[in-house]
Amino acid sequence: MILDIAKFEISRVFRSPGNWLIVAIFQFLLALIFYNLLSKYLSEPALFEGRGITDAVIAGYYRSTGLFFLLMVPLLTMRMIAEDIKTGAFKLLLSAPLNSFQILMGKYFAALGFLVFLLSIVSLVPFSFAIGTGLDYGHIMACIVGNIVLLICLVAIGLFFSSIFTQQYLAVITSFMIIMLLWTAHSAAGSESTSIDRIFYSLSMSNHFTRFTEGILSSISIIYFLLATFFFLAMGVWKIHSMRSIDW
Amino acid sequence: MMQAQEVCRYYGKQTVLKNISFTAYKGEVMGFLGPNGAGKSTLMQIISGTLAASSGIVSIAEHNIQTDPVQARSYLGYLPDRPPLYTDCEVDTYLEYCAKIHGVPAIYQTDAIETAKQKCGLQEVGGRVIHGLSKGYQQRIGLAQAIIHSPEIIILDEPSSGLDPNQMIEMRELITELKPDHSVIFSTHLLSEAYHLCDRIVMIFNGEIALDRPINTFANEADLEDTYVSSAGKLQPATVATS
Repeated sequence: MILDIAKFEISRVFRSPGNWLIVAIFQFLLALIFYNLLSKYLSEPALFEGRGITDAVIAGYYRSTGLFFLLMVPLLTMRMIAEDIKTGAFKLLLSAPLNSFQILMGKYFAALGFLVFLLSIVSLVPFSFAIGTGLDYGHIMACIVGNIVLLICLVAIGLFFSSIFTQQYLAVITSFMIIMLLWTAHSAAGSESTSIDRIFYSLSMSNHFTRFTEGILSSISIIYFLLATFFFLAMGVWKIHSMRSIDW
Repeated sequence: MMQAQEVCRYYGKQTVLKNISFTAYKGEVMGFLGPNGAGKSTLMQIISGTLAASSGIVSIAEHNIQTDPVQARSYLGYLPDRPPLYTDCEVDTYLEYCAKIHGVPAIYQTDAIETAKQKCGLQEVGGRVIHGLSKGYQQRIGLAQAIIHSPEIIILDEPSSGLDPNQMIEMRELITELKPDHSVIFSTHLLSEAYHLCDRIVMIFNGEIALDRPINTFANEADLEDTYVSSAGKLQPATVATS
């Protein structure tokens, strides 16, 4: 059942012209960033202090990909539940022999599938270097894993807020605010290494994501993203379950 | 068979439904008749499992809709007051999805879709995108999704609302056609529709059942109208829960 919902939802994601527009803008901006990084690397190599192309260009490219996902995921997920609630289509799922977990996970895998597909397209660009130069594949894999775990977490956050609001703009604003709060949590920490500072540092999404783009496959960072995902998915399941208690 | 026992629904201190009990049998069309705001749609939502009752029990084929919801809902087809459509999809794509989520086995899905389309007069529009179709067609698509898995119980919330006279007649013919193999429960505020379609009429006023009688106990449509008016007068305006 989860797969049936996911397949249907992903076909709707691909059907929406708005999503294709977001994807086009996303790829255009990433291409600009990639061009900028590469031309700087070639024209001013001294700036990069002898770092290889993977570290200097490709890691920066994947860092930018992650930043764009912060903006893009709420825009994609905002309509996935909120719009169905508003149009009444969600009653189809609520009256079908499905439980709340199946409904949420179907939509979750659809959004995640689309975004991973997008990540695989943008990954073609760095791999194209393999024709002309040697690459640090371990570092690239760490960057890709970092983007995947980031997506896994962001989609869970976006879907939860999509389940809370019937107005899509509220879903996108709130999920973006929460994502930004988590992303910049380290900035609340002071310069001293007190236990509170360490908590803020460990809560920071950007700190965990940066480890991957530095080429480190950190199990603590993976657990961080998975825990956040589990939390927001559990909240989403609870929200869908509680929809049966309210008239809408 | 569907059974509702002492179903109540409160919104804060306001009582929307009070001690609703009834049994719906196969081969029977049961009409819930009442004015707007009487609680009909709330009752349809509760018996379809999309809204929880504050108290009371709804069981479908002996499965409690609160404690065994997935199993209970597998016996149901539900058309809400607004058809639950994905308007960006083609009719065939939408119905295929409905068949899947209602658990129709893959080998029977094509037949189920064709049968539902044929019953609802949708053969000509299978490849059309739903948002480009008229309100009447959209209502028919909503009905097709409710019957696609041939459920024992079909719940229709004001199925003829927004339809033109011809479409209303077609909808009534379809409900009559569904009767032998299903139990059809529908809500309406149209006396004439209830009189011509139902085997049993349940009148709801202010969230309470005022009357539950077989249609053959009414002499004619005028008798039904008189009974409706007198029943409406017997009940007090919306009651307030003391809890």
